[in-house]
Amino acid sequence: MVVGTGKYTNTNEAFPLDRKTLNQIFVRSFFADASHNGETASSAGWCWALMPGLKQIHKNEEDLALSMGHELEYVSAASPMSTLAMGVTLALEQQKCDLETIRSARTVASAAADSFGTALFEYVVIPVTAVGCCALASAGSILGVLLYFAVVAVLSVLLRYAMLYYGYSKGTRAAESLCRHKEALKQGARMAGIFMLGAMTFLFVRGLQPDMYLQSNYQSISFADGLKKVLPGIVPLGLLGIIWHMLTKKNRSLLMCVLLLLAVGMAGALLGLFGGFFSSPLPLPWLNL
Amino acid sequence: MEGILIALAVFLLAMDQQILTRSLHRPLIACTIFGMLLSNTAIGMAVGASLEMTLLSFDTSRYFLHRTGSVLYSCFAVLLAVKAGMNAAEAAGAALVFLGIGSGIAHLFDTGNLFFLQQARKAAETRDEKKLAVANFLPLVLKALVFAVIAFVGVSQAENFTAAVESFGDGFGWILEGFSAVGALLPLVGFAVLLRNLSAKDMPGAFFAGFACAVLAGSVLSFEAAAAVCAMLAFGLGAFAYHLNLKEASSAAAEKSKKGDSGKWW
Repeated sequence: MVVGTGKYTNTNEAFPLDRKTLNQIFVRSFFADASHNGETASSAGWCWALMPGLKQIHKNEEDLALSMGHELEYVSAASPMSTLAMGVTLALEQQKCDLETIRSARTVASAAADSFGTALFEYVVIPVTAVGCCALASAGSILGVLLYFAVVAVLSVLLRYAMLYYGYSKGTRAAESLCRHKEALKQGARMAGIFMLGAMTFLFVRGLQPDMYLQSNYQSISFADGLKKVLPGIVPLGLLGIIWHMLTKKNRSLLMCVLLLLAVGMAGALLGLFGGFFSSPLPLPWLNL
Repeated sequence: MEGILIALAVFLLAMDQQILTRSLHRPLIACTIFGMLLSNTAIGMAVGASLEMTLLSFDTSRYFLHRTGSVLYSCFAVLLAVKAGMNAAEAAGAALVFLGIGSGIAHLFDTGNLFFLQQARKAAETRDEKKLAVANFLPLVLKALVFAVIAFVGVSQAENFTAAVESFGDGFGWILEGFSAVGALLPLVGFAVLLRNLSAKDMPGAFFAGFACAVLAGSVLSFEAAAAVCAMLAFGLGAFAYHLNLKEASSAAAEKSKKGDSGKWW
C-alpha cells in the first residue's frame, strides 16, 4: 500500500487539542522547513511539527501511521503564515474527516497561506523596513540593523502564533458543522484541491522557461516567446502529464519520475536552454546571439 | 581563528535561512555580523545595506534564485570589501558569483534531500518520531556544513578564491544550473502524487480550470497574489460543489420518500 492512503479505522471525533499541545506545535513550526526538498517541499518538517497533535488525536497506531503518511505529501511551510494551514489540518484530523478532504483542504490552505505570507513579507514588510533601516546602517548606525531584525522577527513570531490558533479554532468550528455531511464535504474539498493543484502547476513551477534564439536572415526568433503564444506554462503542464501517466498508467516508481526530471534538467542546462547564472560550456549557435 | 569564526557564523546563518524567524541571514544583518568578526563593523553594515537593496531589486520569480542561497554572497562580499579594499558596490558585483553558487548548492540539496524524504516515509510507516526528527534536521545540518566549509576555504584568500570559483563556474556551472532546473521541476512529482491520491481522474475539468485561472491571474498579478486569488477561487468552487452535493442528496432523499406514490400521479 502507498504510504498515507486508506481510511481511518477509528472515525470517532477526538478530544480538542489542549493549549499545551498547540504551543508545542507552534514552537516546532519554526523548524518545519528544515528539510526542504524538491518533491514535497516542507513535508517532513510539517509532519514532525504536527506530531504532538497527531499523537493526541490518533490513539490507534495504524491510524497514526496513516496520518503521518499523508502529511508527508506536498506541502509548503516556508512562510510564517503556514501555521494557519497547520491549524486547519489539525481541526480536520480531529474530526477524523476523509483523507481526501484533509489533503485537499491542506493543499488549498497551505498554498494560500504560504503565498499570502510570502507576499506580505517579501513585498511589504521587508522592503518597507529595509529602505529605512539600510539608510540608517549606511550612515553607520547599528540601530538600523537591530531595528530591521526586531521588526521582521517579532512580526514573524506573532503571525505564527496567531495564525495557528486562528486556523485551529475557525477550522474546528467549520469542520464541526460541515463534517455532518461527509460525502458532500469530500466532493467539495476534492474539487477545490484539484483546482488548486492545477493553479500550482503553473504558479509554483514558474520561471523555468526553456529558451533559444533561432537566427534567420532578417531577425532572431525566441523559442520561449513562441511557446508562450501556444500556451503559457506548457512545459510544466506537459511534464506533469508525463509523470502522472508514469505513476498511474505505467505504475512506475517515484524514483523513475525523479530520474526523468533529472535528465530533463541536466540536458536543458547543458544545452543552455534555461538561461540562469551559468552558461553552457558547449559552443551552441543559439548561445552566441 | 578568523576562518573558524566566519565558518561558524556561516553555519548558523545558513541554518537560519530555513528555520526560526529567518531574519538573521538577511544581508543587512549577516554582513554586519561578518563585519564584526573581521573587525570592521562599519564596512559590514555598508556592504549589507548595498546587498539588501540589490537583492530586493532581483526578480525572485526566476527559478535559479534560491531563497536560501544568499549567505555565501553576504560573506564573500564583506570579505572582498575588507580584505581587497573594494567599496560596497564593487564588492556586491564581484561576489555575485557566490549567489549563483549558493543557489546552486541549495537546489542540489533540494534534490539530495529526496533520500531523507524516503527515510521520513519509512519513519511514518513505523510511527517513529525520532527517525522523523533526524530526517528533518540532518539535511539542514549537512547543507549548513557545506556552506561553512566553502566559507572557511575562502576566508584566507578571498580574491584568489573568487577568481577560482568564477573559472569553476565557467567550466562546471552548468551542473549547478542543471540542479537548479531539476529543483524547479521536482514539485511536479509531488503534485502528480497528490493528484493520484485525490483520484483526480474524474475531475479533470477542475484541474484545467485551475491551470487556466493561474495563467490569467499570473499574467497580471505577482505570482504570490495570483496563488492567493486562485486559492480564493478554489475555496469558492469547493463551497459551491459542497452545497450542490448537499442539495442533490436532500432532493434524492425526498424522491425516495415519495417513491410509494410515484405510480399514482394520475
